[in-house]
Amino acid sequence: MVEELRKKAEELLRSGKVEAIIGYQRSNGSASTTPCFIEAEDEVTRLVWDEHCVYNLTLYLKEMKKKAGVVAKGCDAKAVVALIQENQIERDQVQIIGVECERQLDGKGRVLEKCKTCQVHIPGIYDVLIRSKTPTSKTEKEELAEEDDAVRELEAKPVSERWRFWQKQFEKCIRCYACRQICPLCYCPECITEKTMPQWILPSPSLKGNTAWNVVRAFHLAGRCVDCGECERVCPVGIPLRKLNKKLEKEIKTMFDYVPGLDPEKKPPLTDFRMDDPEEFVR
Amino acid sequence: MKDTSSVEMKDTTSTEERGSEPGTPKEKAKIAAFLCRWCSYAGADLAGGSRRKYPPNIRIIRTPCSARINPLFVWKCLEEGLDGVLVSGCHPGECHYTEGNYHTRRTFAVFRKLLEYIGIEPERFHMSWVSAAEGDKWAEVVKEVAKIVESVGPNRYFPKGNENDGRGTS
Repeated sequence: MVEELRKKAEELLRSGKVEAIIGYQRSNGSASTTPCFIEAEDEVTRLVWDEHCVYNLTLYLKEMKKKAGVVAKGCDAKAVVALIQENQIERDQVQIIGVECERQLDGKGRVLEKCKTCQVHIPGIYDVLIRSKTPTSKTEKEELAEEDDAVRELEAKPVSERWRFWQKQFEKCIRCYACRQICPLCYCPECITEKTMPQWILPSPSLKGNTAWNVVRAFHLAGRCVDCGECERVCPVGIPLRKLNKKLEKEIKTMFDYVPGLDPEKKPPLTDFRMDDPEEFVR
Repeated sequence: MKDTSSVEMKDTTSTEERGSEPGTPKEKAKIAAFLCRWCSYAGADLAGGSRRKYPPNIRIIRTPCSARINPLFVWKCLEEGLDGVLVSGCHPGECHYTEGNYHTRRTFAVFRKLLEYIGIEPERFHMSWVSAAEGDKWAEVVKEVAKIVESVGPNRYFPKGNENDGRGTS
């Protein structure tokens, strides 16, 4: 796969279709990888691909001032779709080098949680696809069964217990905003949490401010989050942010029959409506 | 401060009292109501104009359209210790701006689920469609909502004076 990836990258650069490739490179002397930006054909040997390539590189697309190619796993490719939907990038400005993914590992060599329930080992959108030699064997049914578990477990608890659970989680938050910085869809030039007139969200790491921040972060991604799981991965204090994201994803699927990151032509659900949307909760 | 002229207007459940003394049982629930100025606000006005009686728990905030009501407003109310929030707009199809209330409906359909999920009692958030002609309905809605909100007791999510909220001692 790596050879194929380098070859395709070289072709893209040589043909002038892209001026840069955003990919993964080995980080110094360890198994893990870091993002890299390749602008010259002879540098493509820096590119690597294996189960340690965890970053969602689509984060950099919006910042690229030139035509770029991006190495994208299935989950990352969904973020590209969302960015196109929201007019943040143009489809013809980006070449998607899709890679079939075989479950990525975290720093300790364990399979990432998101990969256990993944539905998109092959990206849904790509210009070039690089297939895996050892595709994952799990059936779709098994994957679906696992998917809702974490959310469903919490939903089943009484409301007071859920409050205690989340307060304990939010208490840990140090407001470093790593979740926001790593998110390819958190691209507001000025974030609501930094606005001071009026100040909606207390900036200090207090329980009040932390709760408000996490509620707002989750809600702003409702119907947009593609579950690349980067927010949870980078959270230094281990708040289970995907548990929040997945819940909203689930509700939006149930109510509006919408799954984010699949169709670049569709409008995101919270900018859209139907006459017969559910309203059983309205008096 | 003494001001005898404002005696009649005095609010018997000031924020300070409620915050520092959690749960004196006779306390009335405080509910914020965000009303669209074209329909629900006029509906509430009509209820008043026709002398319909309804519980005094509601504090009305007028908005240009129900779609103006950011979920953050609702969150802020709950965070600051209000016991319930009501969002009210025009019936579907009757929005002054054609489609505002459809967006409101979607937004809050999702937001209320998030509130529930993080542990806010679902009894605290309500939504209604009340037109400018429905003074009676408005009175009914308030009665129902007040009853439900009171049934879950006072808001104790963020007890005052019990945390560092970054605002010093004021």
